[in-house]
Amino acid sequence: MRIVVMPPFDREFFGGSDRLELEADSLFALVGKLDAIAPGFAAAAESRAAFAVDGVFAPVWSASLAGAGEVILLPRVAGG
Amino acid sequence: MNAPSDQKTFRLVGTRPIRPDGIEKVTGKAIYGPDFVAPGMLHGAVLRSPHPHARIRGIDTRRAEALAGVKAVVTGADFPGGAEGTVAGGETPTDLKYASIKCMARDKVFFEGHAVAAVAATSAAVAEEALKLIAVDYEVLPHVTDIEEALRPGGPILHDDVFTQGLAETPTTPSNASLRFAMTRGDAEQALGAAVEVYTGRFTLQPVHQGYIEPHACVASWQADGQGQIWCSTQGHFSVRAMTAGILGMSIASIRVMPLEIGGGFGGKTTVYLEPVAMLLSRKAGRPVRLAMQRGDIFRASGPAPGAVIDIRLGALADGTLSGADIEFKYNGGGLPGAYEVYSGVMSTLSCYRVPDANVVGWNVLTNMPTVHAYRAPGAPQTYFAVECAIDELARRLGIDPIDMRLRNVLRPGDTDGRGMTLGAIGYAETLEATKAHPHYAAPLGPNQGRGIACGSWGNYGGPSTAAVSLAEDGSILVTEGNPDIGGSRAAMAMMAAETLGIAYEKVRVTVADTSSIGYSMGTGGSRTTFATGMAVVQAAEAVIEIMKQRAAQMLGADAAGIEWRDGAAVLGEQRLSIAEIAAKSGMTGGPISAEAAIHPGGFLPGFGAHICDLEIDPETGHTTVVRYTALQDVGRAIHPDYVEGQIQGGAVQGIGWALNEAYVYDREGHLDNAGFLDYRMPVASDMPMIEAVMIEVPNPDHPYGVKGVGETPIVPPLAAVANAVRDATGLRIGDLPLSPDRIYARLQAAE
Amino acid sequence: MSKLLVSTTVNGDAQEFLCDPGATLLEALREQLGLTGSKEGCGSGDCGACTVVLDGNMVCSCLVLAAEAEGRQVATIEGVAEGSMLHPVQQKFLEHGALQCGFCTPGFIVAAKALLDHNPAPSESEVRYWLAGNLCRCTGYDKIVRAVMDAAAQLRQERMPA
Ligand code: FES
Ligand code: FES
Repeated sequence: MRIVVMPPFDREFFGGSDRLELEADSLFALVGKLDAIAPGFAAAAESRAAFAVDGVFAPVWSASLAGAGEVILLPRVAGG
Repeated sequence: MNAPSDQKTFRLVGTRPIRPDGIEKVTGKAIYGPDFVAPGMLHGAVLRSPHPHARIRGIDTRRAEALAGVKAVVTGADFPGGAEGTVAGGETPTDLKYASIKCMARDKVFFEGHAVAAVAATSAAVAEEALKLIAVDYEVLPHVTDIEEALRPGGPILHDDVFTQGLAETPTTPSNASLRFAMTRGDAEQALGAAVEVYTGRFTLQPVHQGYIEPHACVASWQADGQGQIWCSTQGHFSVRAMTAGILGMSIASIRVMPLEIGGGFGGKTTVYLEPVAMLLSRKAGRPVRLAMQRGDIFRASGPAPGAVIDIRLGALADGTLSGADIEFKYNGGGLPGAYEVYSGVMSTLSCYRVPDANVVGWNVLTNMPTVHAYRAPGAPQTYFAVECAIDELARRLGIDPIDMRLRNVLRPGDTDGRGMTLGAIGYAETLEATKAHPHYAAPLGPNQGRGIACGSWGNYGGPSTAAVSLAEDGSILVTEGNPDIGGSRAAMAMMAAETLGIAYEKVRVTVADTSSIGYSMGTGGSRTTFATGMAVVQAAEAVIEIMKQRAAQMLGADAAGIEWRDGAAVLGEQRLSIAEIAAKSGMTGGPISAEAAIHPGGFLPGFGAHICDLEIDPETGHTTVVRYTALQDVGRAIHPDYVEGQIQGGAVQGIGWALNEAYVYDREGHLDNAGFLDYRMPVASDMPMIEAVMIEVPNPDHPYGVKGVGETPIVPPLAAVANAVRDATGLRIGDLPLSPDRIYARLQAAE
Repeated sequence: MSKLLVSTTVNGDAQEFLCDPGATLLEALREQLGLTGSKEGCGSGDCGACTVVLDGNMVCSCLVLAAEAEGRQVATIEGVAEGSMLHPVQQKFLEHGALQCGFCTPGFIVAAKALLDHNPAPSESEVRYWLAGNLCRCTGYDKIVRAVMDAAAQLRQERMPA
């Protein structure tokens, strides 16, 4: 599964790399794996990251990632 | 123009019934923030800094405390020191430390109007009198209100503990640039080098205020056992609860926030300025305390939208394909860090066009003006202004129709947007095609008139929402939700519930409940309410239908699986039980019937708008009159078209105001020169023509009724639509807002 | 500072209240008489949310001293409907969706009724100029102007001799 890491997380946590290959059953598991690579990532993700799985925002982190091709990790944006 | 592509027809969705809170609001009975009175209530007043930047050496409140009628005085020293961490109040986290300092200054004031102390007294007059008796010892510091001056080395630094975030190297010296955020795809330099035409320009915008007519106001009441109540008007009473609890160190369940009717917000009422202060005053005084802002305070101390300096290079090929972009913008973030407009600015720039090679960099720059806060599509109108003006210039140079130019580049379903998201059922191209076909686009122009086209989009949002649907004993329906109704959403909720249940609109009554009476719901903002809370209402209604089918099965002695729900009744063959009949027997079939849905939906889709602006310029004065305006928008599906059109019309006029009149003006002392509606000139009825709102309905398949979210998009296109019309009328590309008569006149003179 | 006793008529009812000499009519209506339908958007005469009719003239009640109401007739939003019968301007505001947040609405309705009391057949531009002292930030004015024009048409029809 391709993980696309958008700024600022790429630089902040992954040494600038914005493409990772990882397998995980759920976003919870994925965040755990990313946190193992970059300690502190999980806390940051909880407060300010959003995930999109194959183009659809996925606010529920327990949903299965079986069959997913791409997960995008991007900052949450405020509305008015 | 209503052309739902799936042609689904509905009984109620798409009709225009009268809103359930309408009579209260046209007769003056509705209770808004400043209207609420609690028994025994005290009147509060806030002392505000006259200086834009100063250190507070000391505050002496003794004389104020001694004044007869004064029941409490608070200063920054009364706030718990340890407020830290974040509150997930909105889509983005709120940093409690800065939220607390925004409510009341500690050792420094960061803008004129920053609160430094507050008083509660037996009358408003006594409270005002007491403010005069508070002595604040200020050490006045050099200030800065201009973006570029704030970045100049050697100038005043607002915070010595703020270091630029987002740089490759961790900086070692503090800076007013609190944040750098960039997104890069492909190779912008190479693409610009290979482009046939490159437009290079600089655009500047001034801060503008949300301009809601209702002032911020609240009543807070603290109880000796540590519980508290707040009555206020806000876009999100759950975040008022969380922020107040976090700032004051109270438990969240101990605070109950009652949402009053809200008189406009536009993003500006998604935070707290007064509530924690009023709660502290109430704690000291032992009585409820009202705090309200006056209009001058609102301008000086509540969040405007950031001003900006934007440098853009946009390249195109001969056929109009946008090939490369290099954009760097700086937003004026105001006095405290934590503004998120830079993130949304970067991510929404170019978000509706396919530009393969792009480099977009945004900076948040701290200055001595109020900390910016969300205003309708926060962060997007500024960058779109630059991009849409640049496209207009490129279309002219290449001799391509401006709508065709955009059609060539606009995203279509399956394309990836600026955030890296692959988009589903978007209606951008449909909206542009409808714009091209609209009679306005072909209508002749008179002398001194010009026409401008511009587009804009906004990502919209879902967010957590709770709604409950319950059956009254006679079969009428109660919907309870947690989203303040800022523009007709009760009507939309009632319509969706009635549509789902198959009953009359008038059978459904909607309550916006306080924080202790319904589960968590994110605020009314982000164009999310009709989408997400509407979805919760529909799911709760569906759950109620399931229960009613089971009850009907009991009544009929049948298997629930065989029962169908049709036109508001349980149907089994020839037998039919209405909701009223099921409700009447509910006591014998298991008790009350109700269901709640607490959800956090994804599946929202961005909105897209295209606006056509005709205006006339008086060459003698430079005065601009908008003579015709049409705003087209992909709305998904309109539940109640009046209120969808209203969002589009209102957003368009706010954008026109930003383009033509509105601006924060600071004098050399860092004082806001136009802190009132007389000098901060928002559009009035005689300034505007009718605003034709055209809804393009490309339904969202992930919402039961196709909703996408409407409210924010319409403020994005007008800035460039107006500027492009000025360009068309005069031949002048003016990149500095507002396009006020003196500015246009000076440029006309210079061009002669 | 001693208080003033003011005797006045509000929406046809005799009313008395005590107020500070510097108090505005808007404050007296809202705080003393509990008539919170008139709103304060600015307190400086620039938004029209506080519009009332004083002896037949439309005024910003935030610019009128409460004491000036002595012996005069004040008409506020609370008196526009007759009992539970809405005035056509109110009805048309509802039918046209001419309010979003509704905070400006009382001021607009009082102002629009004052217009139609004087001018039964205003043009669109007369409506826009008459209402230019009332700010609305939500609607962009489109539906407000339509509602007022439509109310005027209905009132003309009602007044037509059968
Ligand atoms: S409150 Fe009187 S005009 Fe604004
Ligand atoms: S409806 Fe909100 S200000 Fe007019």
